[in-house]
Amino acid sequence: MKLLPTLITYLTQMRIFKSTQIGAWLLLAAFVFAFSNVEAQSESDKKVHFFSFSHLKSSLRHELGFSMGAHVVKSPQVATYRVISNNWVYPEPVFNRAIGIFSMSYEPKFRLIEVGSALSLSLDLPLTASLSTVDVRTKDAFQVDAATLTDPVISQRSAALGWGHVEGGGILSINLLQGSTYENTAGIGLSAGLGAIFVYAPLVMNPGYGFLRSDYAGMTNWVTPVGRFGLHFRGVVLHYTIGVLPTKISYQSGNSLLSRSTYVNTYNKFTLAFRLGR
Amino acid sequence: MNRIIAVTCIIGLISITSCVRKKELSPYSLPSLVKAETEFIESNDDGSLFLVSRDGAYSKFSDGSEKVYETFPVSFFYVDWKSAQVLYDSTNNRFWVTTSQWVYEANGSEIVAYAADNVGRVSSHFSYVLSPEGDLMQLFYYRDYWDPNSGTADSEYYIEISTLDRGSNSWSGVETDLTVSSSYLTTPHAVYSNGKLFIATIPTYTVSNVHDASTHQLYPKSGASAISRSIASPLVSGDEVFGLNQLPSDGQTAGFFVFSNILENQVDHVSVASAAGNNSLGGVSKVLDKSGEEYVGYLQSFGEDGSLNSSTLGYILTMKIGQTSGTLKALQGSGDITNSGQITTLDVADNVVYLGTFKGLYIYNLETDEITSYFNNLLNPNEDF
Repeated sequence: MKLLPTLITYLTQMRIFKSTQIGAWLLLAAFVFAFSNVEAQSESDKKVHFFSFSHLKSSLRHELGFSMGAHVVKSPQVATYRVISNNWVYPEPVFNRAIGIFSMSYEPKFRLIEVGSALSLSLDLPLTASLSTVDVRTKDAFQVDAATLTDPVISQRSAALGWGHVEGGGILSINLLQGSTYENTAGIGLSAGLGAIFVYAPLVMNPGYGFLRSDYAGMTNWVTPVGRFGLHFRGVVLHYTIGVLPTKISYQSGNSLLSRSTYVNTYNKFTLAFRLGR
Repeated sequence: MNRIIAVTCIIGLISITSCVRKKELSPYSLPSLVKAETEFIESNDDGSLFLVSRDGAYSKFSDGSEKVYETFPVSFFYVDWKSAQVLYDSTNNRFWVTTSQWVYEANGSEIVAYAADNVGRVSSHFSYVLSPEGDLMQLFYYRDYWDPNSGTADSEYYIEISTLDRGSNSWSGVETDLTVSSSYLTTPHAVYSNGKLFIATIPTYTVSNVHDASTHQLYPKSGASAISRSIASPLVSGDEVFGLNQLPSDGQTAGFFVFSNILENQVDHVSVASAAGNNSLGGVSKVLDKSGEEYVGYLQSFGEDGSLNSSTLGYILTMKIGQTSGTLKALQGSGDITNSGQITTLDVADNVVYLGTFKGLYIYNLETDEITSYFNNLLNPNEDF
């Protein structure tokens, strides 16, 4: 149990204990806490099973997830916006940002390896459709039109690039207790995984301003690596998914001449999911 | 065992989520001169460019190196850019600005002035040429008023070829046997072709070794003397030579293309209007490009009242050696640049027309007819992602 203080010290030293990640660390703490009770349960059965199509029912788990106002995705830098002032050029990063108003996901989880009845390694394939607003913009809210990305004249448009986005990906997860195996009946379970998510945003280009998808080539889809933590309560799962390789870009604002920074290639999503079937 | 696996996974996850990459986008300055009134522009297919504007001079070479010149020889401020010629030495990455009094070398670090060798020459008839090695030479007429050998007055002029020694800031001249009487003096336009210096006067000469006056060969010519006694801004391809009846300069256009086979006697000509297939067009007001078998000139566009402020930016006429008619391309105005009266100078390279205007330098894309500010071209591509 000395691990938790050590972790907190480590996180503090790394200066990454950001508000957007607090949820993840709390989940991790719960994960560590729960692990101390796992050994006793798993000692009784050390048998290892591998995924088999002949036992698909016990090797596959389905989840249906929902997220409301807790789903924000930012692409890597997709372009550079330049503010020109007195022959000085101030480059600012442009990224695609999707804010999910309501997201719905379906996720099959293939248990690749099961160790006993309380530990498994699974391949999760989350598919998400989101009603969202999608902007290609700078941090300072210049909603940048593709035609102005290299134009030294500052111009803004008054509407988002479009609406809705979809995601699909694969996550390799370690699962403990509830949800780890078909036969586990524990009341609580935990999972942690790493993978990658492909994002396609927006689904619908804003027709009011004549935006063309071809003008935004390379800006409307990307792949981002993610980590995910899950807390299982019987048939209900709370997932938190976070981008694991964000980029912090520092720059000088051409409008305020202040030093600014922003994170791109980020992913944050809380999902409340329900197990379908057993 | 499970505890070890779990702790390893958690530490691994924490480590990975801590991997925040860092990147910095730094501001940078651009030369303001590209947004000032353009006085001269020289561009080449290899990406090199020499720009002179009200705010200074700028060079860019084929290797991408750029230079904004901040100090200048005093005489540089008095260069008449309407008549100055710029030669590009791609071998040594130098631009040469040639005038009757001075020549200037823009070498990527500074602009150096050299006094032209004008002692004893006929001041109104001279030209400059670059050797393939990058030696700058001046061709002019020289007269020995008294021939000590014969003891008589000499009425003939000689073409002298002087080569600039950059190290000693001096010219070393060779007096050739290429003579002409005073009534036939003309500008000795010249160009290097196949290692030989071709002097495009009529008659024409080829010189195998500029340091040895005996290596020249004369080719008599007839047929175009009424139009010109020299082929201005010549282009040589094989045995064919192609050029203009005179060098366009401020207010004066060249109205005829002049061409000939070097080895033959006949010199022919065709009017620019005829070659363009449009009698309303004037002559060539600037030679934009000449390479291979193509000769490209700019034809100004006039309105009905004779002024330059017409709705088009002018025409690009491309002639192919051996043909008497060319291809005409109209430049369409758009955006900030809508009429030819805004154009101060221009040049063409790599399917792009560089438009020098009172508002700065612009780029005209010959494929799309779009006009964009050259300022945008200077934006650092390395800041991209």
